[in-house]
Amino acid sequence: MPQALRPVASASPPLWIDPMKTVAEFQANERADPSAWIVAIATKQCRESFALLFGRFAPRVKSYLLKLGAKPELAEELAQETLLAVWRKAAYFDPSRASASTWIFTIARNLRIDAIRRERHPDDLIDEPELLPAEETRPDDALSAGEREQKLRTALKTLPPDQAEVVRLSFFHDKAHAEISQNLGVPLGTVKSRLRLAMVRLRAQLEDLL
Amino acid sequence: MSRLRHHPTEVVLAGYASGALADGPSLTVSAHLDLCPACRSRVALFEQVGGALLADVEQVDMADDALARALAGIERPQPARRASTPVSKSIGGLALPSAVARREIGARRWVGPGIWVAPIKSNAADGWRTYLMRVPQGVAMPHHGHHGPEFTTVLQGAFVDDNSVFAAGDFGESGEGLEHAPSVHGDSACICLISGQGGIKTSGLMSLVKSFLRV
Repeated sequence: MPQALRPVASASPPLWIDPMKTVAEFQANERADPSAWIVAIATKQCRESFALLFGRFAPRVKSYLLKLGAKPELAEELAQETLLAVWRKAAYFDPSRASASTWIFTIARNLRIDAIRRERHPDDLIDEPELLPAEETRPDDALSAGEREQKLRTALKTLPPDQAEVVRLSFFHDKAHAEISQNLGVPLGTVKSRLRLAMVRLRAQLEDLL
Repeated sequence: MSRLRHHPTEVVLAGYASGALADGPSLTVSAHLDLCPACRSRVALFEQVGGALLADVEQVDMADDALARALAGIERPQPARRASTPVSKSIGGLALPSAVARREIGARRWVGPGIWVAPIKSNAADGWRTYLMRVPQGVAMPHHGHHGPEFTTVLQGAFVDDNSVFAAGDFGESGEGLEHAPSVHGDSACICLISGQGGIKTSGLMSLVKSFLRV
């Protein structure tokens, strides 16, 4: 990794970032904890951390929005807006309460909802997300938000395939569950029960692991 | 507060957490969540699932100049935003849930003695009609059917439907084809937040509601 790309722990003045660096160059360091980058943005306006965060999340947010049916230009634009919102709202991020990816997921989701609303009501200037913020993890949780997310990612991979598919479709396809049931060729009641079973299982796994 | 008895299904909460649920139904879910810690925690788990899926989704290349644009963007002063100070609003003596209070609410329209409806501005283009409705104590709604799904959160008072009591905070979901005749329960008026799609099939009083709302 070139010297300039190392995560900087304690840069007091804002770092200058070479704007010619492409996103790919910042996608390195897959194992680093992105929460620390958001904290560095909040406390030190750290440009380097922002670039790392952008490299990690912008291509994923874009992918998520494309799966939800956004056109490529809109997906690109909303991914930009999402990461800019992360920069501006970084002070509100509490790593003990939410993982970086959950927090960024809720920002991207809310911006998408706002974009759809603006499309229908161009004069409507509401740009504050109206959904409730991500609920904090319970204070008695022994796991940190980051650890909890790691467990959840593992647990998601061990769901029975039919349950995993319903969970995935719930997030990555902009379809009512009635359509999901048509696509899967199973009754809506089956979709509902698979989703319920999946959530019971995920919750049980998270709690067993305490 | 008494314990809530009727909650959104996992499917509805997943739609809320993923952003797939339409605007009007999302408002009814928000109103329920205001009063229901258990469902807030279920939504939180769905949001964590969303975060975990985002972390593992395959990546799609951003434009070549994307990072340069973003780095320029963070140097610009923050655009002026409409203040997001909490809005408090009441209607008919009832303090509205925060998500509802932030919306533009139309004038109350008289439907019958003690009965009014007030439309909530929403995405008309998506086919959902969202409104507040007050029905006084002792009144039973005429028997009516639904052409499409409808979500209801009780904000004040209670109603009985099919021998089940729905009290403040409770969430009801009725599907296409449902026919019922809910009636107000207890000795105070009932105010509900309702979002429906497809309209109501009926005659009599409900057709007045229908004509006011064009549902």
